[in-house]
Amino acid sequence: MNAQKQTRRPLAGLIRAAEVPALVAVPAAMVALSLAGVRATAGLTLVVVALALALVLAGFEASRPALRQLMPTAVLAALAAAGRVLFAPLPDVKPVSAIAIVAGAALGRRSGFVVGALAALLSNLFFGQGPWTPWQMYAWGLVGYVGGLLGEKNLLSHAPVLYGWGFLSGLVYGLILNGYHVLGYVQPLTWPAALAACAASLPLDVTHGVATVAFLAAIWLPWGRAIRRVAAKYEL
Amino acid sequence: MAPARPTPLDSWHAAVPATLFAGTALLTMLAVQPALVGLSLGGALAFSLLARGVRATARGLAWQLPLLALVCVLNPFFSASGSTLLLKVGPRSVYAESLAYGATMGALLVATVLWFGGAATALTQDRLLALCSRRARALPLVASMASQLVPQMLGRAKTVRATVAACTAAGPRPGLRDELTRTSTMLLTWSLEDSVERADAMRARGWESGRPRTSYRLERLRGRDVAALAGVAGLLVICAACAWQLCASWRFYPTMGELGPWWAYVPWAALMALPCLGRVSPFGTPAPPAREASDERA
Repeated sequence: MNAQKQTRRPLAGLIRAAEVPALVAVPAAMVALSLAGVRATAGLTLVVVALALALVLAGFEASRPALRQLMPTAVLAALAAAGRVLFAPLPDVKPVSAIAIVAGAALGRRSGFVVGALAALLSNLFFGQGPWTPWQMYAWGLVGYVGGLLGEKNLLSHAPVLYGWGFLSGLVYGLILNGYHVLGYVQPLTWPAALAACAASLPLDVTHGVATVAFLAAIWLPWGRAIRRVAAKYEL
Repeated sequence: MAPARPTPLDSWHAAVPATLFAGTALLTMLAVQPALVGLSLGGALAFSLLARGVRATARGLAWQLPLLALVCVLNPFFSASGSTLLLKVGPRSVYAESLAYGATMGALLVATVLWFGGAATALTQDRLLALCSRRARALPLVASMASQLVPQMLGRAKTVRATVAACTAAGPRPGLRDELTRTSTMLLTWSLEDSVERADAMRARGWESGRPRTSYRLERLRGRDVAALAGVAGLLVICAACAWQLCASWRFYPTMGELGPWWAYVPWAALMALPCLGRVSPFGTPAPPAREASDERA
């Protein structure tokens, strides 16, 4: 048993060390494949995204989170998915990014990633699964992961950083989802065409960013109080 | 979501349809060649009609066909390239090659969506979670718990809002922002408290005790499942090789290339028809309940 644990630890460490390179590999692969003019960019980048998701989720699994940490992760993921369903009538007004950031700050970067990724997966049970699902999982997972990194450095207690990342997260999410479509489904792609596509989606991405800031402003303090209250009540 | 109809794929271990659908969707996305994409779209559409029914498929096509048209039109708009000029829209030139690329990518997108939808009918959430490794404990637990919490929370949100609205003695109704914040905070607190109690209940039943636990498996991998898995994997490899050859001889720009020999399409067509063929094939006849309960040491 001990020998097994010892052999597993280096693997877990390796997986954890590969998390950030895996997350960075996705935009790098998007740009590299597109510049190379590869016809199957849509499929190949999807493979890279799936591998990155698998690696980061394996990192969460390898961290062997305690049961009392798993439950809040499930609750926040479900709340984010339910929030997306409830706000479905308002385009680009979704609380998922804000909840992923709160989860990353409260539970750590891996839990933040899991909350964002699961929220996309579960809410798509209502909206329809498709090749966009892994991209949404990656994009919202990344938002939660970076939220967790900022939280670990205690930067989210500064309002400009919190709201700054909230706003940027909308643009990052839009850039990933639009970039996936434009780079994968348009060929041959020219810089003016790529910029025109980004400009066309900018108002929607800005709306998403502003909505995330509004959600963060609304829930950051009351949810923080609610989490602290439950932590005190149950001596977590 | 459309109610799932029983398909012959239900009679196999979940690994078989999972490999079949994942491989088919992946090959569809990687093989950007009009004839291959057309065959995939045809197979996906036929399976959707069989497994999900005409009404559900038509409901899906109501937004999938406009999506196809949008992707088709967007390509010439963003990328005016090719050698056969079709028309000029203002300063934009629309070439047949550019339009063909857009139509191929639109069909590819819709085919992939249809395969995803078809896979969802053959692979329920329980069957997918049963595919997870026994060592993976955290993620399957979080995923299954969260998926059950979503409908519960949607119901609880209504309860909370109705209760708050009924408390007229507490003062005037708050604004929309305050109401949403209050509702979401109550939902969070309610669910968090539940979750902590659930965690304690699970620990009381031996979770996290560090001792090996028995696991309940819905399905057991039988000999015929392994044979089917090997067959599907073999077919996927042959299809990948043929698609590689066909894609190598095909190009969109500046002029469209050759479609390639007909025989190279045979394995691909067989793969795309496989989910539907199961319906009439003796191999696909649903056997006695495929789901077997077994207690195995984890």
